[in-house]
Amino acid sequence: MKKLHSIASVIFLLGISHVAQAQIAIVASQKSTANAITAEQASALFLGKSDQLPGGGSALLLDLPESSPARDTFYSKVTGKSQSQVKASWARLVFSGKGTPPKELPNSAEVKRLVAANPNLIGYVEKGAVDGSVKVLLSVE
Amino acid sequence: MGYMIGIFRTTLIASCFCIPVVIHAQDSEPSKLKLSGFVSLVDGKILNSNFDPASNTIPNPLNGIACPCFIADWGNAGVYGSGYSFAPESRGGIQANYTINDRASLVGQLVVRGTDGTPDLTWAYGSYKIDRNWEVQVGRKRIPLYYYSDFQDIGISYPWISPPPELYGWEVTNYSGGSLRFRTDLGDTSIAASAFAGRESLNTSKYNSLVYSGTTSVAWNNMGGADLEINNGPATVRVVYVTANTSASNPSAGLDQTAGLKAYGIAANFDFDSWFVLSEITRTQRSYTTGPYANSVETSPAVTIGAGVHLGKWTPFINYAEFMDQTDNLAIYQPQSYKRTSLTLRYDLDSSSAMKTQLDRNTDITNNNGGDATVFRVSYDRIF
Repeated sequence: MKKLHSIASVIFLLGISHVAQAQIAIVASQKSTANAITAEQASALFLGKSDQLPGGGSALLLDLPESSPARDTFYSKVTGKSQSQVKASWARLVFSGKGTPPKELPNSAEVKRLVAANPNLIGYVEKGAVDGSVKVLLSVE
Repeated sequence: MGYMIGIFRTTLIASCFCIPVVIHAQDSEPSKLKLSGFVSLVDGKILNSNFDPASNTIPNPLNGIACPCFIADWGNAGVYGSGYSFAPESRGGIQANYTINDRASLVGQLVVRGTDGTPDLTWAYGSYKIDRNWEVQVGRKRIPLYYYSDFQDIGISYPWISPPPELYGWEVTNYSGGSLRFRTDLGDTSIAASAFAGRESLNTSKYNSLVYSGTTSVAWNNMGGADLEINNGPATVRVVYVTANTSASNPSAGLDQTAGLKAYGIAANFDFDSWFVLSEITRTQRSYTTGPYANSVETSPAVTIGAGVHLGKWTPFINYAEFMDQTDNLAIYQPQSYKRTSLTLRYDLDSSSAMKTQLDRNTDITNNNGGDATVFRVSYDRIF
């Protein structure tokens, strides 16, 4: 019984940590004219349907690596698309001169570093990685 | 047509103004070259057909393929016969994108096909972002006649093995000239509009090798058009208008023909979380001025509609397409009409590659298109 209980606790804790990992924040520079973004606007940007920041200016997008769980969570929750569908959307734009896909960076720290320095950049990071260097435009639970 | 040339001149002048900006910017901005590419290997054959060589009036053999035959790609003369072949639709391309600065870039794309081993410079243009809304491009690009024209070579970007040949089949697919594009957002609605002008000439038209023996040269002059694409959530609608003065010449077949071309189209796509619908309807009209069909008008409506569902890595897709050729003078022109139902199953191997298999049932309505045929195809598509 005790054993069962501890297994249940472990499963519960894994569940909690999974939920914590799944929280994503869409971030921009503190100097960005944008203060918030809707999930629809973020989806349009990261699928290449729009390139305009909500506060004005052309958006430059940053991505995390394909192996990153945050990337999977971001695209499935914000765009409702699989990685294959997202790549297919960008392939249409890249090979017809209509868009440049998000620039891939190795981790959240790099995303924050670049975003902080350029008001046109927009990226996403694990929510736990957010600090004062960036402005949160949308929290994705 | 004077205004088309006007647009073209304006874009050329605009591009010339860009050059000093580009050179100046090179000193302060880091330059970078990015290479990307795509490959589609497609194998297929006709499984069965009711082709009757005595009554079917298609040229047989068709471009070297003995009928029964199925024309999968008109523009590149990709024809399937009774034996498996990779030649009709396999292709690969490499694209170099040189970023000069935040606003300016140069792009070149070389494509090699199973129907033509010589690499073809499909795209070669310079691009300049005037401001957050406007962009001008000058060089060699794809004629944006249909929704999928711009990326019809990129197999991974659509659910079929290839876009429906009932629409996507013209004697020329590219142009040299200039285009101007405008993008903006109104709330959650994204709007993109573009206008283009240019010309194209081919010494050897592959399309016409499906119609005439010998070599046919073609030219589309005074080409121009505009399109408008509106996206809101799951819905995307695009309208397009293209016009050109076309000519075709084949001395050995005694052909010397000119025609005015007008094409209108509307595409409506709906992309829900798992279900999606792709539809497009076009109407093209050729008013022949000289040649065997002089003073007649050929009108060709075409339609495609398909629906699919994303089930994890699998995407089954069903499609119906029809090309309905009409003329106002049956004494001199024989219309060519056909319709096709297809079933495709796509499997995503990873985010950059997919395999598809497709079964087509093609109906040769006017009995001059190679016969009713069931076609089987399998493809491997990849981008890198």
